[in-house]
Amino acid sequence: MYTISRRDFLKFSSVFLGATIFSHSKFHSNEQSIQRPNIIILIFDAMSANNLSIYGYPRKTTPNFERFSNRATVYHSNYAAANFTSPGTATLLTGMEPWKHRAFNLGGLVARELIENNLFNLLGNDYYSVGFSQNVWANNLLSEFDPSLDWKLLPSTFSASMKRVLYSSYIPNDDFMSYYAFDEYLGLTHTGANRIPGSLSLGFLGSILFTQIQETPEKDFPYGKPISSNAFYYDNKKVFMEIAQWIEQLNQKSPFVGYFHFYSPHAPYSPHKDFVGFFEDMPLVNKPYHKLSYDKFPQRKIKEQRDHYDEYIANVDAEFGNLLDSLEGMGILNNSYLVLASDHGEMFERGEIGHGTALLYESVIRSPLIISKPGQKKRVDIYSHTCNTDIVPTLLHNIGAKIPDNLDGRILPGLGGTEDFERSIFSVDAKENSAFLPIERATIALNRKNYKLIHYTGYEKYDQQFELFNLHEDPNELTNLFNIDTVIASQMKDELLTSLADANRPFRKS
Amino acid sequence: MINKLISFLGNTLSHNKAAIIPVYSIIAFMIYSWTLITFFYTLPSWIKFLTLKEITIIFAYAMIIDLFESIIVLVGLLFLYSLLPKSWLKDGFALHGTWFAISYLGNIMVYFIPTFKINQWIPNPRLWFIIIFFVAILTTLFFSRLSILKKSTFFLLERMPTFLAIFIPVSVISLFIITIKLFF
Repeated sequence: MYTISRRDFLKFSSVFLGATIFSHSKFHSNEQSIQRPNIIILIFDAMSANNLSIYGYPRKTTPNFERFSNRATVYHSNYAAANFTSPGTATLLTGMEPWKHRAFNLGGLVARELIENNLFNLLGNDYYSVGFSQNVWANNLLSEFDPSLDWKLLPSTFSASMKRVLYSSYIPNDDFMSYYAFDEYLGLTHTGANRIPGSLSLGFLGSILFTQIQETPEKDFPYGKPISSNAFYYDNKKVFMEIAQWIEQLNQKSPFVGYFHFYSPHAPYSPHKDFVGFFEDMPLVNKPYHKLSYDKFPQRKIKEQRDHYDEYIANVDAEFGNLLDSLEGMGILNNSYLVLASDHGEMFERGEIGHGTALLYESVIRSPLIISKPGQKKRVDIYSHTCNTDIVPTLLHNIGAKIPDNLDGRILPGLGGTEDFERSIFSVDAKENSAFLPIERATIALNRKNYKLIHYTGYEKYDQQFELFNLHEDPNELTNLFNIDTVIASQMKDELLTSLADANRPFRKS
Repeated sequence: MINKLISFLGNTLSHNKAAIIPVYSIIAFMIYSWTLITFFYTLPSWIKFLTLKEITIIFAYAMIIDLFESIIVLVGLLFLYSLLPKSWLKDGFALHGTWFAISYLGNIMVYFIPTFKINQWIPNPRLWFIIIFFVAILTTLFFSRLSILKKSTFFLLERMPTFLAIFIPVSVISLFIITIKLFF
């Protein structure tokens, strides 16, 4: 229903301009609001820092990120709070750890009593807020925060095909709960969540349309077209170009906050033909299968997918380059924070491809974070540990808004905070737990200094297990030091278990 | 053309009035049962992160869709019945309608049950749609000639309308709940 054609976009623009004039008093009622910077957040789904040349990856995957970093702060040791979209995005938008916001299930939601702790609400009414996510699970979180948003675009807004959109988009009064009813259950447009539809006819219709999209040949995408998990086809060139136009329109509503969550480079990895075969062959370290590896893909397949992923990142980076050119052309970066981040990483190791995993190795939790502040001209590099929990408090601090006490993040170094090389960072995978009960079946990673401790609890095959790695000496996480480096292991184990117990306390019956 | 179709349908309806409710009850039983089974299959994942109120809303949406879906299937069946040659259908709508509904809806269910792995054999669901349409016609014509199946069909048709006394009120209440949610 909200999918926008070029004509619609022009219509929107004129309405938008009109609305700007009429609402002038609301948004420009005082001098302070005029001086407040805009905030543009670009999230690249499933983008692992380990595969980006800006962080030292041998393949030149991100020349445009590097160009942007000449005027930005680059965080070299940044972590996502989880290994898939729901908890990763909830952390980005609330500044809380997954064990606090509780959106850690597949398609999970932020605890209802914490919904007001979202970036859009915390920025206050002065900010005109727009949210867009091509990823439906991130879109669900935006739906939760809808009362704080001035405009929420539907996931298929910039899609290249109208053949299949969300059933829930036809119920605008309740696109939130109707999503769970129609798109994850009755009609099954999200194939990752459930494979048996609740409605025979809607499910069958969905299957027909899904096949139709897959079958349509597309010569520009040799590995297949970019398709989101609920099967609408999109073209990154169009998506990035139209988002640049959106931002240009939003600039007239300054100050604004725009959250744009791109599905790319999430699987299926579908680079444009210009990027296919872009890189020379590069070996992939062969790592043994883990006891909790789900798929156990052969190394040949893993390497092939890693290569496609790298090509897709290069493709996305090129489109980002065009967007950056547009933003620089508008001069908007002189009065805006621009945040580049990812909700989680991606794995090509131990038999796993992607992030549908219980594992928390570096590739799936180490995520990019690059932020430019208004008018920044020089590059700053930060090497101490940071986390995606830090984005919300940092932005609030920098615009002078109040930071709620219950946020877990800190103000980022280089943007008002100080570097802390002793800092502990947690990442959690607890998708099989109830959000209303203590976490008892989970993988939890603790990164501190050079070390990383991973704790597995509640798994039949691998219960109460610990792995300790020295990331400086063993960046591939191949040698478990838990029974060797016992002093460090004991300290980190105590810290991890104490933090988990603290997180579980409110959910235990007294 | 449309008037012709409506008059066709009206004619079919008037000739098969008594059979419509029993056949509808078979359709409703299959559609609602499928939804209820899949609902309880999915429930364990929902209760991990959705509240009781939210799950109730999902259930209400499902019951409304089932009501409309079952009516649409019935209308489609009546329409199809009015198009087929009368000599094929001398046993009446009750018998043919029942077997067509069972065969057709049953084969769609088979498509979705992972054990059968239909989509590995026939990846294109449109092809499956065509295959099961003809399978349903053949099943209907063949099974309605077997006297033992005739007897069991009438046995079923006598008892199935009882379920409508559960399904229809639940759908009406659901419609009421969703209307309030959407508009008030």
